[in-house]
Amino acid sequence: MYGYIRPLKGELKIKEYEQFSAVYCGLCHTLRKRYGFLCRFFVNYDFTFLAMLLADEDYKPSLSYRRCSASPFRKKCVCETSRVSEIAADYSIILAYWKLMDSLEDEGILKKAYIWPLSVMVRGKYKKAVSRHREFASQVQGKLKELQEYEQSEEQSIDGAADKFALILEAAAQVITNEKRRLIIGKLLYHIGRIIYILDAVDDIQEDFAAGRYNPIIKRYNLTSGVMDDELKEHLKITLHHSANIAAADFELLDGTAYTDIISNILYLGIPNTIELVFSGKWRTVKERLPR
Amino acid sequence: MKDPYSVLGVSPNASDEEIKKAYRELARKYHPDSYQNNPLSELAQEKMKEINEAYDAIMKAREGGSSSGSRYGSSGGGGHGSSGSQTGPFAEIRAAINSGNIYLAENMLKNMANRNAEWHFLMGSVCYRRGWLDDAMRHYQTAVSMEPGNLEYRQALQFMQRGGNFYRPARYQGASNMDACNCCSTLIAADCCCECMGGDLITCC
Repeated sequence: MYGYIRPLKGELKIKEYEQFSAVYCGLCHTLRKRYGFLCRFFVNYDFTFLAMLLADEDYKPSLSYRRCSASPFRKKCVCETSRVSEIAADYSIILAYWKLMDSLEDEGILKKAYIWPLSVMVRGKYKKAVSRHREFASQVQGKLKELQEYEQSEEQSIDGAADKFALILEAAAQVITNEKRRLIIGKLLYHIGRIIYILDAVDDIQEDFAAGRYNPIIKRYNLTSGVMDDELKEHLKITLHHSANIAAADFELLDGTAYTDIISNILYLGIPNTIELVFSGKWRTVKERLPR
Repeated sequence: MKDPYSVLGVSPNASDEEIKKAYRELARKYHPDSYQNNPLSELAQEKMKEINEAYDAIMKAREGGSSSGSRYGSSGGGGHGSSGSQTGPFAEIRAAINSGNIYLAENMLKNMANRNAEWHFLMGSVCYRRGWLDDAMRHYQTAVSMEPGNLEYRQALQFMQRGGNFYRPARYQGASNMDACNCCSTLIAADCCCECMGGDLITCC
């Protein structure tokens, strides 16, 4: 999706970093196995986070060592496909498809020329994923439609727009059978969704302004350029850090998780770090560099 | 009942000091301040109760341990809509917010013509509970500008301007945006709160 939700690597223990990589690689292998070679490119950190969050205390991944096209010589430690990685893979496909459809509407003719064949290719995979998660897929579609209507309405609230996207992530928790866990992880994911949506708006603000596209921040503050002043940046940063704080407090209420230390790193350090990078404009140079 | 030692995350051989330390850390983690107006505040209160009971059980079993001396209070957590007008439509809305019935509160607010400072304050609380933090802050700002003398509104706005008031585990404190001075003043404020409730966080003052 966006890749904002990742750990602060320097603060992970080596053991934790290896576990994180194994989940990431496991998700990639699951995508390839379930949806074919090309779909493995939809692997990203946000869904790695989801996979870790869905894993409860009793989750014991079986590990294996494998080569792959990204690492053809050295074998890497990989979590074998499990229910958790399957759900994360299915949801990746559903959201990736809608992201492609969204780009197809927004982008110029040049980008459309290569997005269109890609979206045709993904459509079949999308249908396969939908058949596995009808409930979730229909919620995604419904909320994205609401979002589109909201964007065209007179409403100016940033939260009103972010809410639709945040509710999609909250809906991802519905696969959890334990009621208390479902409630906590749902509320946590709501704030993660809010952070992703607003960070994406911050990250794209200049391009959106230049292209005359909808951007919740431009609309809310009636910006006359694609540049935010320091006061506005500070205000948005506080509201995003606040969401991260609430997500972390919610996480502390969970009784047992398989990846407590890594998720804590993401919530207490990784997300705040991403927020700072996006606002300082350094995110785009950093984000491609991080994987392994 | 769960094993009290596992609730506090200590071994049964742990010293009294270690148990107190573990208890304090957990009590800070689940303190009502971190869950103000949070839809999950009830779960936090449950956790707090569990920890208090475990601590009391261990201290009782170990003769000579004073169980009430440094125990945290577990009241509160209701959030913003707790004081203010006692009668009239706003009192009903406050009751709805406190019981978690956000849709009812929102509908009642939307149907009101008189949008005074209290209206904006309560709308801010409704927004906050839904996770609409930017809108919450806007409403609190309006409430404060309409009635600058009201302490409740000012506190709510300050809470938003700080990005909330949250616990951080020791391992993640170094990288936070909280500097040493801020940390001390927070601790002193927490100590004052504890003393109000009959406890004590910093024993020398």
